[in-house]
Amino acid sequence: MTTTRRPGLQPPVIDPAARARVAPDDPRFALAESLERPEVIREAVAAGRVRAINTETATGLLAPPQGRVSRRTAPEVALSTKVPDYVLRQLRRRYAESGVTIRNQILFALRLAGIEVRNEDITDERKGRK
Amino acid sequence: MAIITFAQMKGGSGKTTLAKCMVAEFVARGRSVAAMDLDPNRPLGRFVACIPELAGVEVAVPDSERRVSVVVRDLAARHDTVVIDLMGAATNDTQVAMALSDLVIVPSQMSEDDFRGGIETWRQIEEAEAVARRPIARGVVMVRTSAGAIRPRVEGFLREAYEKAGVRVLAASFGERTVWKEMNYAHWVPPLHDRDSHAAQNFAAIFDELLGLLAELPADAAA
Repeated sequence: MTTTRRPGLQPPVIDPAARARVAPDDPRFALAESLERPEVIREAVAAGRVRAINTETATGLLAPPQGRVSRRTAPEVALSTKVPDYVLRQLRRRYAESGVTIRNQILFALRLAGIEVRNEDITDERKGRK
Repeated sequence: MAIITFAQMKGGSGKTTLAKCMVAEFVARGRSVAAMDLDPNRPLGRFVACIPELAGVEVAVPDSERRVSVVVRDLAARHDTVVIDLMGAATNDTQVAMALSDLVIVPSQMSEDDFRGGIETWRQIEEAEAVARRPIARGVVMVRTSAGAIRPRVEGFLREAYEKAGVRVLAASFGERTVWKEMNYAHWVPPLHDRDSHAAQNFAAIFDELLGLLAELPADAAA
């Protein structure tokens, strides 16, 4: 009769690499996504948790708001001239009534007179205007 | 298997060198690994690109179209392990990467600045863990320690200081060796090319200890 030696003790296999992959619907992704929102980053900056912004990944935080992107086709230059006071009073009244700025009233009139003025350049780009 | 992040609020602490070795070690062990390089200088991406054995490793970088969370979710669906290398600062990416991670590794040299950065990083991981409501494994790796048998006084002092602050420090430390600095120049990576070397064995000890931290997580914590 043959006797076999009792086998040596083996440590259990602890192989974290054998775990399943992180599932795409794991809640951590939703949490991480929420931490990428501009308002959450601003809050983290205010709280001191974030002290430097990675411009590559905080694009939403740094990009200008959509409505403020200029659509003008040419740079603006200053023009100063004198007009009779009653003309200016009428322009102001029309602005009060219609909301069309004096600049745009003049540009519209010039276009009617045959001067090229593109649609994109007749916009009121002051804060909050469309 | 896991999303692993290298984080430290102080720059130049050894995050990228450890991340390079980590990627190489996974490849040497035949594991599927991808990386995300969040350092705008792209040191990890350059390293992977110059080592032929790492040609199959995907290194993602952020772009304006896809957020970090989206890129990592995509990588994690296709690879067993995702390694994230962060910038050396408390950035907007730090909290995102921590929220995604199963394991966060905090490299620390022995300066006071590294210690302060290490403690701050640790606190952020704790915070991320509370917000995520799941355990995040973590450990500090002492970096640029003496590769010889004699441990300098400051290393023991610092280990004690970390432990007093409730921070777990790995028993294995990353020894100061010229070979780590030469990896990009020589295209020679000890974990890949010279696994019997002291350098490779040094990193393997760190690697095994880190996997041990992951193994301590409850089975349903690290997916």
